[in-house]
Amino acid sequence: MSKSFRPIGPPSFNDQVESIHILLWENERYRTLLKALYNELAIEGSLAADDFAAATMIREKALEMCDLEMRDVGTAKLADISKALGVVLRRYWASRKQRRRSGGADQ
Amino acid sequence: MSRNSNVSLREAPPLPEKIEDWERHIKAERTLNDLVEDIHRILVNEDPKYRSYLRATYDAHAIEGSLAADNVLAAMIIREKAKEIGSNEVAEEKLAIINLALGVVLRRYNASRKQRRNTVGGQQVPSEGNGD
Repeated sequence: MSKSFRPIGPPSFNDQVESIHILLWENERYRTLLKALYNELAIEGSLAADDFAAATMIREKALEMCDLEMRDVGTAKLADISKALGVVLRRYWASRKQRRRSGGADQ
Repeated sequence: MSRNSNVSLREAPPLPEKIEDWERHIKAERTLNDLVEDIHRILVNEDPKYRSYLRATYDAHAIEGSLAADNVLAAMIIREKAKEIGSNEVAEEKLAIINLALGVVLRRYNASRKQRRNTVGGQQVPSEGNGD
């Protein structure tokens, strides 16, 4: 019988970012910031700028929640949040690169 | 005897009294770079956080962990200020574009990250051609 691996202990930084990502998915602006596959289609003119704008929203949400479990995200640097968001998106097969390689049907 | 001694001088047009009456005849519009420069000059004076976002010359020193992130946050502050003072062209611009304009502005003052990174004893040295 196979068991899926589930780490014991507090959620990792990536897990914390994932929790906030799921909460923010309701937010239309957040979704549009993650949508573009190419710089030309980015809301803020480049994918990097869109990534950092999305990371800013994640950090603001973490601070707004006043949740001890999200404390790390609320005080994290944007570059770190942006990298963690990349990990989270890859978990869902939804990173920009993955979607670009899959044909970018939604663009 | 001067040739035109009998010719009375034409009177110069009166100087406009109000600023609304001053019509600019050079029609060159100010560029986005100029508009961003105006806001940059305001922010450098009044916002220490803005200055700190421009200070780092390496990722390791960046407030937000990377120079790219610090650039975007500086651009966000510029856009917010533009909204506040009614500079619509900048207020409606994309962050990446404001960031590019800010790069131009900083180079005007020899204050870009790259220029400062390559400065030794007040003198700029050539980079090694490794993208630095």
